[in-house]
Amino acid sequence: MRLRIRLAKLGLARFLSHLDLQRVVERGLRRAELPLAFTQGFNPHPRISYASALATGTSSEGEFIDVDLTEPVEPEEFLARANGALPADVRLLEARPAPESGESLMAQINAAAYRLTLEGADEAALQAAVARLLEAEEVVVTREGRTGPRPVNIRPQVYALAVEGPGELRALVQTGSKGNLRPEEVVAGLAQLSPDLAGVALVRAHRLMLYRRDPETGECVEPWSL
Amino acid sequence: MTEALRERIERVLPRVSKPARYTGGEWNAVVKDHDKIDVKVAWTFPDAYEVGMSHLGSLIMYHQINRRDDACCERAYAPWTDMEAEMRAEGIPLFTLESWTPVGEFDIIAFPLLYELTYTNLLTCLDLAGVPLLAAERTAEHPLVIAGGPCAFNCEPLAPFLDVAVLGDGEEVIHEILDTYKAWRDEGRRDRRELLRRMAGITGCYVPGFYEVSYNPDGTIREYRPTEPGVPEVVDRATVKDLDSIDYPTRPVVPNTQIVFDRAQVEVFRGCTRGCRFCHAGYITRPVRERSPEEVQRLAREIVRNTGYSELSLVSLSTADYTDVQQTVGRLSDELRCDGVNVTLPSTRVDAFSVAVADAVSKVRKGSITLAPEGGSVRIRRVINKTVSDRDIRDAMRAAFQSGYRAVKLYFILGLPTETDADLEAIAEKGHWALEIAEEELGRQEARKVRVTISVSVFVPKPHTPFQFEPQVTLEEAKRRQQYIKRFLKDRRIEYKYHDPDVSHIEALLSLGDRRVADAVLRAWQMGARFDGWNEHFDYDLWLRACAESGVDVDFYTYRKKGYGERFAWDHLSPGISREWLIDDHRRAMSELEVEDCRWENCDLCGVCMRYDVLPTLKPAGFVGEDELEVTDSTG
Repeated sequence: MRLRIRLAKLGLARFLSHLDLQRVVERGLRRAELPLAFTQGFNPHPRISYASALATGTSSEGEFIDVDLTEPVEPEEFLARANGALPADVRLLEARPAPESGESLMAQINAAAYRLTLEGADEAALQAAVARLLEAEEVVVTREGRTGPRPVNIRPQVYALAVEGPGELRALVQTGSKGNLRPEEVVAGLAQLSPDLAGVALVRAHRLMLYRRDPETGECVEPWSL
Repeated sequence: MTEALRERIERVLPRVSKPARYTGGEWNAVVKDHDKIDVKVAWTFPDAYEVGMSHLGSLIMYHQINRRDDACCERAYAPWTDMEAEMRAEGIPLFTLESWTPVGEFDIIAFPLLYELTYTNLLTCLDLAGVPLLAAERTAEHPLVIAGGPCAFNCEPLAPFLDVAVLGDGEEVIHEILDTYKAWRDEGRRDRRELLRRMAGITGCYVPGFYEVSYNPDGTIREYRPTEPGVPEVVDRATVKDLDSIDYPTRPVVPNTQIVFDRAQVEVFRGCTRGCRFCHAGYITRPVRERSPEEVQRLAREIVRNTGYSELSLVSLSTADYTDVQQTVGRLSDELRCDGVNVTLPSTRVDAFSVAVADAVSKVRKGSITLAPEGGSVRIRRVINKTVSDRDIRDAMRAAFQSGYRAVKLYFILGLPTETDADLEAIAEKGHWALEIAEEELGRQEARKVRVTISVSVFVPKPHTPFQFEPQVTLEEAKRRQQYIKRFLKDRRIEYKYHDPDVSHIEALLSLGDRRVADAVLRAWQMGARFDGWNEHFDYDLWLRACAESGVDVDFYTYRKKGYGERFAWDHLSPGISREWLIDDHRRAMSELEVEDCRWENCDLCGVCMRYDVLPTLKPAGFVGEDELEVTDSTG
């Protein structure tokens, strides 16, 4: 049986790296003594697959994992037992049975929604910069890559962007293996479009949800329907 | 207060490397209400989180303190240099991971001392905690600063900074320390000197401030004289007699982020009587005290269940020597395999039996196996009492290739007493043996894939060992010998690893140093020395300048051959072995004579058992204590 689970990484746990989170979740599920299915081979480990890697320092309430089990467990029971064995800042929020075949979640997920909290941002300047970014054909920022910094046009990777409140943005951006936009790059793009935002700092990035977005229609589907 | 500190810490974390080192929140971390606690201990490991969290002794002591209702133990670690800079810029004090409480607000700050190159980090921790570095400057309001672990047996280079050093096994003595502290505090927490006097009365507790040292004109020590009535001339170590009677942590803190030894650990025995003459641990932890196989199995099962670890390690100084090793490993391995848990042994003794035991548990793909003959030639191995024959080495290599290993790592020590070029050539020769045996066992084709690593470290003479009288080889000579070995390594399947010997030189200074070396430690720290055990931070020239400025002659401590009559800085800190025995054993070494292991052969009268009334305890399978014996009788 396969369960699809929505997972949250909150509070100080946001400073865990993706590898750290995997380690914490695996150990928690082992402690909960759930009937985990193991991989074959010399070094067996539980079959848990992640929809997306989450950056160190970014919190989330929209991570998804698929967990394979050797016998059926009621989703509610699974959540209760697992949450009783996980550190307080890592929570499993929701579980549903998932299809056991087909493409992996990771291969399907290509968009993510974030809430970004900024400091030192003038409200009006922020509104103006967001509007300017959405109108622009091209917004070039410097991306730190393995081979060093290089300029990239991030505009095609921003699907939606809006001011939600004072110093707070909501962004829908590209994520996954075909292209990944980092929250700080969105802020860098805005700062570039408005001199008033030069001193702005991203103090919190929080991921809200992962999606499969249809590139033609722009329609977004949550992982539950995949 | 605490909340505000936590917010300030959170603001700097996005700017530092590996922020998960500083966040706490781990499974099994113990968080207590400070208002209901009498004595608060900040267990402060003077190295990075990933090193400190791997230390079994710290997990044991954390449990010992936290199992008391009247005490709490919280953890702090030396901040990495980027974090230290942020903390200083933002005015953030050293804090504990359990409750973000400033370490300076605790009653006791406890430092485990595992290796000398952490000494400067200890000063960083004290300084960031806002505690005066010098014990003499602390008042009744300041925390009591204690230290323990292997280096406590010569903590003289830290003497001015420590209130109390604890020698030996900590599990029982810690309760005496906490009770003594509590009583003093309940009486009004007035006179710090009175607290120290009481501490000095506990077996295993050494108060450096209560001793006056005088020196001879040639710079050697003349005398240590206690300055307080009732303070012992020689401080004995604390000794746990029976490991089975000690409450072992079955709910160890499980790290969220990667650490060095990221696995469950069960200590199967403590102490080692193999008598390798270079090995500090082998002399300060005698005699051997085993945990019973039944207890090992019970602990292993519980720890795995309580942690979710996928690997369990049976640890000791030489696990293949455990009386019941084969059965215990086999049973545990079978039991835990169903849960996807591997059993591993941290070290492999150099013989075919040990390789077979290691092989039996190795369910993972065969990687490399590590063998440590330590000395290249039969002769030098007799000098160091590493009683491994050439045949043992060949058998171990053969067994390794037969059981599927394709990489063999060989560890040696360079610069051992009496070492000649012939001994060095013998090191290189062992690499070629491994390749020959690989070809015999696997054929020429398959043997091409074999990798042999020869790793050579520089000998550091250690206190309380028969080699405490020996000088360290000079830096130039160490470099020459490193290059000399290289000349004899002719095959590209052999990888040769060696380190710059200058780290070992400073390690020797801090191992063999006396109180006067403390000035150099302080000066080096002031000049910026941090994480000296880490290649990227160690700065030899800085240390030499610090020594020069503080009038410390490094060569006096490290390159001088010492007489049997010389008074050493650690002679009043006793692990139980007499000076006479160490002299005898040094003489045996120079005559290339081995001593036997008293577990299986004759007693060599090192004196520990008699002095502390504690016998080596070996507990084969099916061992039953006296109580259980009665039950067995009555039922059957």
